Amino acid sequence: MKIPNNEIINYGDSAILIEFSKIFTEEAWKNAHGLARLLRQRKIDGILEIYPTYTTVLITFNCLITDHSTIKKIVNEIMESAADSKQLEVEPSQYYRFPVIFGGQWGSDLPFVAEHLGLLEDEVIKTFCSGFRKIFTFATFGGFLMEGAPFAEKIPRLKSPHTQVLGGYVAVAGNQTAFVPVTSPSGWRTIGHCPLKVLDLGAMPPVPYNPGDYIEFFPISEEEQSLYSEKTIHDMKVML
Amino acid sequence: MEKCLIIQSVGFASVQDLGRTGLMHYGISSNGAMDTYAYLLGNELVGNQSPEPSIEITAFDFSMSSMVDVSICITGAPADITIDGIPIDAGKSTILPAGKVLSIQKIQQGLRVYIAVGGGIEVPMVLGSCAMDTVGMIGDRLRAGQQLLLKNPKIFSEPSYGSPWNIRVCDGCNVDIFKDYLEQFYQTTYSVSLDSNHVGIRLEGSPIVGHQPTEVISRGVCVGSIQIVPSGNPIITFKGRGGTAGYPIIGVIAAVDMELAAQVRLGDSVTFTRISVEEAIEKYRERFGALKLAKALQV
Repeated sequence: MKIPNNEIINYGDSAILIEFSKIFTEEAWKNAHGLARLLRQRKIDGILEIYPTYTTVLITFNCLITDHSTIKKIVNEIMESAADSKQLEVEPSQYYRFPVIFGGQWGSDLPFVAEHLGLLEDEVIKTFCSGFRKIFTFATFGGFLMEGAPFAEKIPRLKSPHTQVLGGYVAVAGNQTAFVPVTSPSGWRTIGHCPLKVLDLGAMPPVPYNPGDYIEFFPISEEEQSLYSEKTIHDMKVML
Repeated sequence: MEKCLIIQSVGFASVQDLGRTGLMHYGISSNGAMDTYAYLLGNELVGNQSPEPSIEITAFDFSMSSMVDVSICITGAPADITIDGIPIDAGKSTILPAGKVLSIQKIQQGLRVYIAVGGGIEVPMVLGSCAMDTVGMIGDRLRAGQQLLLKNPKIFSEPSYGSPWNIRVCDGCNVDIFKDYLEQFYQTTYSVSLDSNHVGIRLEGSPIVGHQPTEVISRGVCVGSIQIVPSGNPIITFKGRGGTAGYPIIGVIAAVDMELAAQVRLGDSVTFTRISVEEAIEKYRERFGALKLAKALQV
């Protein structure tokens, strides 16, 4: 097995970005998350954050304590020693189902998405909810992102981001899907809202899922909202 | 040109350090700065990595100038402190600009005032110290007209607050996308938009249009990343940001200037200056290295 191709890019004076691919590939994703896990195990002095996303790992550090070349050297060592083993492989997956109220005040950009795709809103929802899809990365405050399908075309981001979207929103942009549990600004097209209690700030980590786990969205009516707002994400875990 | 301090007027003052400690068994006293705390505090605040020779002024008015810009810090007894007649604060690193006169007058309540100098003063060392010893006849009091050579006249500049802000920036992870737009970006004066906060500081100015791609695959975004959104305007993603974003990043604010971004007010003007990663790290270490607690920023 050869060392996965990666490019180490300077990212300002206190960070580097390890890029395994410029476009999404499952292989690059696996390598990024595997590298991040091995880096975290090393407990390297001065490193502040290790953040694997789709095809990259962002590493930030205190440049009083360490620097780009020190971290690059460690990354190269890890990549070389991991090349012959299965160390970069990910953990077994968990499965969850997410109820979503689509459209209206809960998904104000659903009409745009439908029009962009040339579909009816119901067809958009049906396509969006067609089976389990993989979480590829954490994003805003315990939220997650998915990549690839469900739609035939990419969805453009907003020209100027929404300054605030109510927490629990489900949004799309490009080939990506986002779930964001907290109220936040967003440049994505909001299509729905999940009433589940997903975050538990008394727990560490505050959400149970991880990149590599699977989520299936399913539509609910506004009347069903109260039913699900009593539930936590743990109630929505399924065994496959 | 020699880099010197020039004593203008002096009653009783001398150059002092921590003194000759450990020689008492030879009958040699330590001497050195009388008020150790004020001496050390000044050196600490002016950013010196070790205690450097400082000027100890006793009781009488004193004035001096410098041939080059140099950082100083005044500590010790309260006094009227001015640079070219303009009052400055004690206990704070201040730049004494070349040719201007620093004046210490009306020392009150206490007896001694210290001037710590960024990089220190080059004076003869005897038995490991520059301290004046009137018994051993080492050193002498300062005279009007005397020149004191500066060792390494560092400027520990306080960041310059206030609009127009100039903020230093290193290349970001998508600098290649903006090769043809860097000149425009670094020449534009932006204004801070009203919908800015701790999550994002939105800037308005000459929009950057035509770069490709305008979106990249989402990846981690570090504090101070300057994204160019499709409208062509920059957004500085700040500490409250979400973890990922997919707009290309033209640059990242140098860690040493992050505080400036933290302080901009709505409507202020902002320009950016491009610096290398090496220079940015050097400036950061110079400034934050003097803050002992800066190393607390670790996991």
